[in-house]
Order: sequence, then C-alpha cells, then structure tokens
Amino acid sequence: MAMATTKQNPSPQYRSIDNRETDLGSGLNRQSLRRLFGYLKPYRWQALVALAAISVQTLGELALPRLLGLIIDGATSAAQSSGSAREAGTRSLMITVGIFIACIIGVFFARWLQGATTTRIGYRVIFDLRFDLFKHMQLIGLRSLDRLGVGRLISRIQSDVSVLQDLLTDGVIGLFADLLVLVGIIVAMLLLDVELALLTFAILPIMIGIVLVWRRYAIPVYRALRVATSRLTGYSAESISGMRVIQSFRRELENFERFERLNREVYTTNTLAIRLNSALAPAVEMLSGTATVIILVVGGHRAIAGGLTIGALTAFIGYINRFFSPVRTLSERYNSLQSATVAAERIFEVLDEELEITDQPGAYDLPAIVGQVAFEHVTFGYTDRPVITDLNLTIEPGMTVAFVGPTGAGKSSIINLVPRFYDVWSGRVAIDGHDIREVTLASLRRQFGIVLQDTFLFSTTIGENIRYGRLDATDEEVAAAAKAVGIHDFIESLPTGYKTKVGERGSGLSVGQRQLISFARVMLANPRIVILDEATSSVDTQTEQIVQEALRRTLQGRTALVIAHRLSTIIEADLIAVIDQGRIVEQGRHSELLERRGAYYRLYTAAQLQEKLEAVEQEQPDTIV
Amino acid sequence: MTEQYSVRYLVRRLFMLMGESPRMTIVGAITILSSIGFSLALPLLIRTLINNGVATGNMRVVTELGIAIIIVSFLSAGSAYLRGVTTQWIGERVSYGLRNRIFRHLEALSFTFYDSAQSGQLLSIITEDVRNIRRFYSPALRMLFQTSVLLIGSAIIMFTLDWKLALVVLVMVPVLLAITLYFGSRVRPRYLRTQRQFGEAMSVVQENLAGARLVRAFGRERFEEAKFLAAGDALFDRQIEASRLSTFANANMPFITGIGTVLIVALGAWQVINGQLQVGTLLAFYLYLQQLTDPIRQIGPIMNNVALALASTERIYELLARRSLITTPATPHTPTTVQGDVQFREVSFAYSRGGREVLRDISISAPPGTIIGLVGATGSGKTSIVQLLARFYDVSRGQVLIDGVDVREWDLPTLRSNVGFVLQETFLFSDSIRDNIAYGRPEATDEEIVAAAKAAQAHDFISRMPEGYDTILGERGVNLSGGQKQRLAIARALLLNPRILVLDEATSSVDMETEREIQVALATLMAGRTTFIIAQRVSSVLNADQICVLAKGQIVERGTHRELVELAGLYRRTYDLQTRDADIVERLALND
Repeated sequence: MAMATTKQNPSPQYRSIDNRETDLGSGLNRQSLRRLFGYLKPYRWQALVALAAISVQTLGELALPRLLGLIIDGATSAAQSSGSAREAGTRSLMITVGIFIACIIGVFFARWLQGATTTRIGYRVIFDLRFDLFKHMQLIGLRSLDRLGVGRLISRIQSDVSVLQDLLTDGVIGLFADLLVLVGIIVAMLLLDVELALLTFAILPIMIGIVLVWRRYAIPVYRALRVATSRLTGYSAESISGMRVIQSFRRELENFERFERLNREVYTTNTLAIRLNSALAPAVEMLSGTATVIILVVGGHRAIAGGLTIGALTAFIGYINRFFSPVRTLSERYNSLQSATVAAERIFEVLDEELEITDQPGAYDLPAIVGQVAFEHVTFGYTDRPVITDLNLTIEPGMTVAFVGPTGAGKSSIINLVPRFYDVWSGRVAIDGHDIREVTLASLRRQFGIVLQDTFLFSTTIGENIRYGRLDATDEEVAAAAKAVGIHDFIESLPTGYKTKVGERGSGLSVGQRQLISFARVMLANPRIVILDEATSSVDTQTEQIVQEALRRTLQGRTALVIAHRLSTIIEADLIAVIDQGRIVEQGRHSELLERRGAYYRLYTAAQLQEKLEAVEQEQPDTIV
Repeated sequence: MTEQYSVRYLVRRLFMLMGESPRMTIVGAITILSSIGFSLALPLLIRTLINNGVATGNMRVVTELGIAIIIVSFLSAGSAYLRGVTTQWIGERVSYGLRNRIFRHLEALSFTFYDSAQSGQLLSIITEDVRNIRRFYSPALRMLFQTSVLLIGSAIIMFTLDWKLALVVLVMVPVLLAITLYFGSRVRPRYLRTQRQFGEAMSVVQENLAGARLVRAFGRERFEEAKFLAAGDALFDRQIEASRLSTFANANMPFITGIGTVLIVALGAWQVINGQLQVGTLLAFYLYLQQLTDPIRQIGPIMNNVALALASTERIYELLARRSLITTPATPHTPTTVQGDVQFREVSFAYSRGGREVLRDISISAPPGTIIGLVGATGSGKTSIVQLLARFYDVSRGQVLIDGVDVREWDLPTLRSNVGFVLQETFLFSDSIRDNIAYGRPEATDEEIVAAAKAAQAHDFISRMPEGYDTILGERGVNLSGGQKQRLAIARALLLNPRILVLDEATSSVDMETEREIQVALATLMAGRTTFIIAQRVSSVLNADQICVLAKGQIVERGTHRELVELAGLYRRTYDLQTRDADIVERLALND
C-alpha cells in the first residue's frame, strides 16, 4: 500500500513551501497553545473519533508492507513445494491476500471518517474563534479600535484565523499520525529483525542533524523573503493609488527604479530560498537510499545465509520508504505550529484587549429621558495630555448647541463623550441627572441619533440603510422618514427605488444625498438627543438648501449637539459654544457673541469680512450689499 | 475566463516567457530527465539484487549492486536538487521580469485607464496573478513533464519485465486520472463558492469595523452579530459541502492504488508459485506502482494551477495590451523657456470615445500671469478643463494651446513640468516630509526645500515635529491635519516652480480658519504664474481676472466678479445664496 499522506487539505490548491506562511517565531508559546486547544474542548468526542480513525488508518497502512512480505514468502515456499503442501500454502496465501484487501478497505473507511471529522472540527473551531473575535470587536472601545486599526483587526479575523485552520485540520491530526507512523515503524522493524532495525535507526541522527542545520539556514532566509515581499506589495499598492500624482509630477523613472530595487530584492532572496527548499527532499532521498542499500546488502547476505526471508527483506524496504518522511514533515509541522502560535498570540491579544468602556456592576437601564445633557467639570484626553479641561455646560432639553472653534480645539472630543464613546478622566457627563457611567451602555446609546461628517453607508439597499435607525420600521415608516428629509423623491426616481443597492461606503451617491440618508436614519430612530458633525466638503447649491432644510427638521424638538460648519446652523443655534484648546472661551447666542466682539467675532467676521471688504474695495460697493 | 485569448495563445505566451532564459530551460529539462532516469533505474537494480543475488545466493552480486544503488540514489538526489533549483528559478525570473513590465506599463497608462480601473484589482495583478504564473513553471509544468516521462518510462520497463502485470498497473493509470479529474472538476466550483462566501463574511467584518462608530451609536451590536453569524453559518455550510467531496476523493485515491497493489501482489504471487515470475520482479512492480501514485494524485491540483495560471496570463496580457493614447509625438516641442500663455479653442471633450460630452465648445484665453476662475456645480466640467491642460486626457474636438503650440505637440514631460497642481485631496506618500515636498524635483537641495516650505507657511509646523523634515508620514508615521497637508502640497508646487498653476478646490476641505491660514501661502504661490482656480465657493475666485461659470459642460457666463454680479445671472444667484449667511454676519457686525 502506497501513500503515507494523512493530509486532509480541504483546498485543491497545490501548496509549495514558498507560498506557505511560515512565521518562524522564536519559540512556542505554550500558554496560547493551551488556550487554543481549549477551543477543541466542546468537540472532544468528535476529536476522539478522529484520533481513533487515524490510528486504525495508520495501523492498517503499516500492516501492508509486512503482509506483502508474507505473501512473497508464501508464494516462494509454495513454488518450491508440491502436492498438498503446495495447496495448503496457496490457501494460506489466499487468506493473507484477503487480509491485505480487508486492510485496504478498512484504511479507506478510516481515512474517510477521519478526514470528514477533522475538517468538520476544524471549521467549527475556526467559526467559534471568528465569532468570539467578532463579538469582542463589537465591545472594544473606539479608542482601542483607533489604535489597533481596522486593517489590522481584519487581518486578525481573516488571515490569522486561517493560519490556525491549517493547524487544526491538518496539523494536529497530522502530528499525531506522524508520531504514530514513526513509532509503528520502529516497532514493526524491531519485530521483524532487531539487527536490521538498529542499522536503520543509525541513520536517524544524521537525518535529524541535517534537518536542524537546514532550519538554521532556512529560517532567516524565509523571514527576509517575507519582509521583502511585503515591502514590494506595499510599494505597489501605494504607487497604484497614487499613480495620478506620480504622472503629474513625472516621477515615473524614479519610482520605477525604486520598484525595481524592491523587486530585485524579492528575486534574490527567493533565489536563496529556492536553493534551500530544493535541498531538503533530495537529502532525505539520499539517506533513505543509503538505508535501503545497507538493508539490502546486510539483509541480502543474511538471507543467503538463511537467517532472513526475502519477504521480510521486502517488508523492510517498504518500511524504510516511509520511515524518513515523518521526520521531515515533523520539522515542517513544527514550523507551522510556530506560525500558528504567532497567529494565536495575535488573536488572543485582540481577545484580551481590555474593554475600557463597559457596563459597571449594578448599572441600570436609563429610563425614558427628556434630554438634558450636562458636562460637569469634565477633563478628558486621549494620551497623557488633556484635550478638554474642566468643561462645564448644561444643555436643556430641546436645545441646539453649536460647537465652533479651530481644528483640534476639542469639539469632536466633547460630542464623543456624550454617547460614552470615551470615558472622562474626571468630572462627569450626565443625562437627565444620570451619570452616563452608571447606566447600561445599550440603554444609553439608544437615546442618540448620530450623523457623522463622513456618512457611513452599508453596502446594501438604500431602504435597509435608513432602516438601520430602527430595525422594525415598516416600509411606510422608512419612506416617511425619507420624505421628512426631502430625499424620498430622489430615491423614488431611481429605477429600483428603495431597493437600490449602494456601493461600498455609499459610492454612487453624492455627498449631499448620503447626508440626507443619514438624516433619514435619525428621523426614523426618533431619538431624544442628536449628535451631528456637519460635513465640511461643500455640496452644490441646490442640494445645500435641501440639506439645510432637512437639518432643521431633524433637529426640531430634540436636544442637539452640533459641530457646525455652516453659518446658518450656527446662527440658528440656541447656544453657541466657542471652543479653544479644550475650554469654552465664549458662549451665547449669535447676536450676543457678535456684540461681545470677542473670539467668536474674530473667528467668523474676520474671514468673511476680509474677503468682502477686499471685494468692496475693488468693486463698486453698491453691487455687493 | 473571458475567451479573449485562446488557450493556445496563452500557453505559447507562457512558453515564450520561459524561452527568455533558454539556458536554464535546457538545464531544467535535462535535470528532470536525468532525475527520472535515476529513479526508474532504482527498482530495476533492486530487482536484480534480489533475483540474481539474494535468491540465487550470490554474495558478490549483492555487494556490487548495493554499491550501484548507492551511487544511483546519490546521483538521483543530486539531479533532483538541480531540478528543483532550475525550474523554480525560471518561475522566479519570469515573475521578476513580469512585475517590472507591469509596473512600467501602469506608469505609462493615462488617466482614462485609471478612471475605470480598480486599484485593488491592479494590485492583485502584480501580486496574485504573477504568483500564479510562477506556479505554472514550478510545480505545474515541471510535474506534468516529469509525470509523463515517468509514466512512459515505467510503462516501457514494466512491459519488458512482465506484460501481464504491466497491463494491470497501466489499467490503473487512466482510472486514477479519471477519478482525479472528475473530483477535481466537482470540487472546484464548490471551493469557489466557499471562497466567495468567505469574501462575503469578511466584508461584513470590514463594514462593521469601518462603521464601528455608527454601530455603537445606534447600539446595533446584537444586530451586527446576527449578520456575522448568518454569513459565518453559510460559510460553514459551504465548507462542509466542499469538504464532503474532497475528503471522499482523498480517501478514494489510496484506495484505488491499494486495489491495484492487491491485484499485482495476488497475480504476481500466483505467477511466482507457478514459477513464471521471480520475487525480485514482483518487488520492482510494487515499487514502480508506488512511484507513480503520488505524481498522478497531484495531477488534479496541478491542472488547477495551470487553469489559474492561464487566467492570470490572460489578465496580465490584457493589461499589457492596453495602450496609452497619450504619448509624446515623434518630433516634440521642447522649448527652453515657457511663458504660460494658455488658449482653449472651441474644445469639446468626452471621457470615452463616443461617450457623453462633458465639455462643449470651451474657449478660454489666459495670457501669462492671469488668474482664471472656474466655478460651477459638481459635474459641470471644471476639473476636466484643467486635466486637458496638462494633457491627462486629449480633447475630442478643438485645441488646447500653450504658448501657441498645441499640447499634443509638446514633449509630455516638459509640458507637465510646467503645470503644477494643488488638489483638494493631497496625496502624500508614506515617506519623509522632505521627500514629499521634493516629490516633483527629487534633486532639490535642502535649502530649496526649506525655502519652499517657508514660502508655503509650512516651515514652522514642520520644525516643531520631533524629527523635522525627516518625519515620516502616512500609515506608520505622523498624520497631518488637512491644512498642514495642503501647505505641503503648496510647497511641493512651489519647488516645482511651474509657469502654470492649477488650484482644484484647494481649500474646500479645510475649515474657514485654516483656509485663512493658507491664503497667504497661496498668494505667494500664485504670484507671476498663470493660475486656474477651481471652486464651488464663489468667494475663492473674487480676485480672478476672468471667471468662467460652467453649467453642463458649457461656459454660460464669463467676466470679472463685478461684471458677473451686474449680469444678475447664475453667478449672481449662486453668489447671493453662498454669501447670504456672510451678509448676516456682516450686517450684524456693521450695525454693531
């Protein structure tokens, strides 16, 4: 029986060493391995079935060379005898052939069962792990999310988990099978002939030595290759997205030279890697050839002398053919185990990411609110430097507050504190007198409608995007919300109306339309408090009017905290808070602030007036006013 | 695969690429042949050792053949090593060359191409597709060649040894092949479905993370979990569906070879009993069957590799076949000094041939040093005008002249080095601030860079950074604010010192306060240059010598600010609307 493979690769892809992710870390982290195997626990019975199946499979496969030897011996002796002895010999030979067939059939079923079980367990565990990661990502605070980065988190849940999938389906079972084969062959050889067995084992230390030396050379090369490849990919990605700039600045030659350098580095490193990964298999082949010859010569002499049958010799050769491959794959498996531990560590790092914003013990549901928001001596920062210092502000229900001030003054930080995207350092934020840290997060955030500067749309239908505001809303309610913000007619004008799919991040819609959809979302949610970060990028004049009107309607009757970029929004606000360096430097209504001739006056009149006055100076004054 | 290229054409392409390294190709073929030759010899030697040595009691034969086997297995190992190195090297060499060619080609393609191209797709051509092609040479092509030589060689040897047993083995081969190919073709679509579903599950994750703020704001964590769970469940089902077949197929292959072995062993034993076969020959057959099984099992995956490589070759050659229509003419206009006189003469333009005209009969005259304002709503054609100026696209009708010469007659690098852009979105590379400023002129001295930064009002904030001009920007570096980025872009344009300047919504993505800060820098930049200002805010073009108001690709109004206000048309209406708020401020302030 031929094949030694226990591989149950679900993909039909051919895998060669150069495309395998071999993150050869410094060692194995036992702790994360143990934790990883914890994920196998719910499936321990299936795992036992798989182990049993692979044991049957391995034993069956190991029996085959011996059976072949017995058949050869039986045939030889039957050939030499005659009469009834020959008949008896033939009959026992047929029984041996029967056992041989039984073994093959047994191996077939065992292999099938083993394959089906392990892949199932593997996929299941991977699923559990991904879901755990996803659930945790929902709870991670925005600050950690910003720090970890979306790209990195996606690669955790995508690539790192996939690395583990290989380990769990192929690796664990394969490791077990390899060890079983190794031990099985050692036992089988010893049972067959102690002397020949010991002779074969003498080769083993050389083999292990070769593998160890190989690893020492290979590890740095593979690491360098990974680095070079990712550099090249990074540079390509950047160049492709910046191609217009490259061409505008005629950088083609310089950039190509740089690309070529990186490309050459990949090429030369790969040339080295190629030499290394071409060396190992022939080395093993050489050793197993040597072992075969030793057995053939020594065994052959013994057979001639009569101490050994040809069948036993044949069986030995069969075993030698399989003896060295587990040693080699064990080393490969060690590599994949290492890259798996690296992946596992990265995954557990995310899972262990502390949730800075969670429900406190004893948190209660926020009861129905009227919508008063109070900042009391609030100090807050992202790193060690505070961006908001001792902020005090009370916003009465139904009031619209416009936050104005230069970039980096702390406007966004202030509004992010209210839905508890971040926690204050000191002081407190209260809604209707409830400290927001004492109520449950879910009940708190239900109170808000939020419109961000960069409107986020999911790649689903427009209708579903509006419905995100209230999941159980009927189609009529969705349409009513769209009507209220003035986007209904536009949506209806599309060939598939509310069922129109919007592309990734809302592509295909203009900035203004996206804003209107996010207003509709808030209308549908009908929250008591609205948080709005107005878009700075200008939309065309007609849309602008619609957006302003929609905004007015959305904010009506709700408490609103607005980072304002439109003068109309500011002027209509019930309260303007001028923020500078994390403090409120002025507050009041528009007219009051202008009268005060302070920071607000400077901020807004200066920019507008200067331009106007310049124009006035150049033109006839009466055409302007 | 879109059937644009025939399979034969693509395969020929792949072979031609290999032919670029003829010596290695020959060495590769020789090493494959020799390594196969040696591995075919081994079972024969073992057979002779047993039949003529062990079975007949001839010690000398045993020893001699033992030495021969060692020599052959060493030779076999040596040629296997060379085989591995050469065949993989060919793949590596081809990928290296292809990557260079693709990158160069991408640099040469015009904006028209990038309008419709997806950058993710282009990146995957330069990474994934090139890798697929590398795998065509090794393992795919090598294995196919190797396997056929092995098959033919062992068939010949086996037939000379014992034709009856040979027939049994050779009947197995087509059965194995058929099974591999059958399961391969059944598993592949299921596997593709799995991948697609995987992509879907991952896009749920991606959207969820990108929209994290929204998810949290609406408290939709549970809803998102349910979404992910549904996608994950579907993925799991697909995976199981695909693996059910592949695990069966995986178990099947050794089963078939096992049956073959049984047949050989049983038939062989029968012949041995009858004295028609020697045991050594039986062993040799067993060894040949073993040698053949693995390569045949690999044919399924190998054919997958080939299919992938063909699809990738097609994608790459499709890309390489794209020609840029915008190239320097044979006898280009390369003036030593440029005045900056710009004339648009009845220019019409469509992004694609026969497509909707985004510009119609545009005529603009901009003498050196003048400021032209282009205003209009989104999609009115403002940006198209300035892109024609630097010949990122060619006009459909009419002419764009710089210093009286049609831009199509200009040397392209000379033309573009005389047009500087400051765009709404500043593209900075993840490189040092210094390199980003010197982007248009890599040879600029440090003094020049600092001088440009100073003039752009950027020197102060750069100096405040911990590493000054060496500060690395981008994903792994420092993030700049919109105003800071804009000032770097201005410094970049200043250093380039172009005669013609384009400000495309240069200040629209920054707030008013920041806009005021960069106005000073912009004024420095514009001094003495022909400038095109594109803006939606009327306030940005008040000082222009000529303002062109665009609507639906046509200039509907034109004149100075004063003239246009008097005209009381579209411009006036827009102006009134946009300045209404400002007027309120103004009146309130003046009444105060």
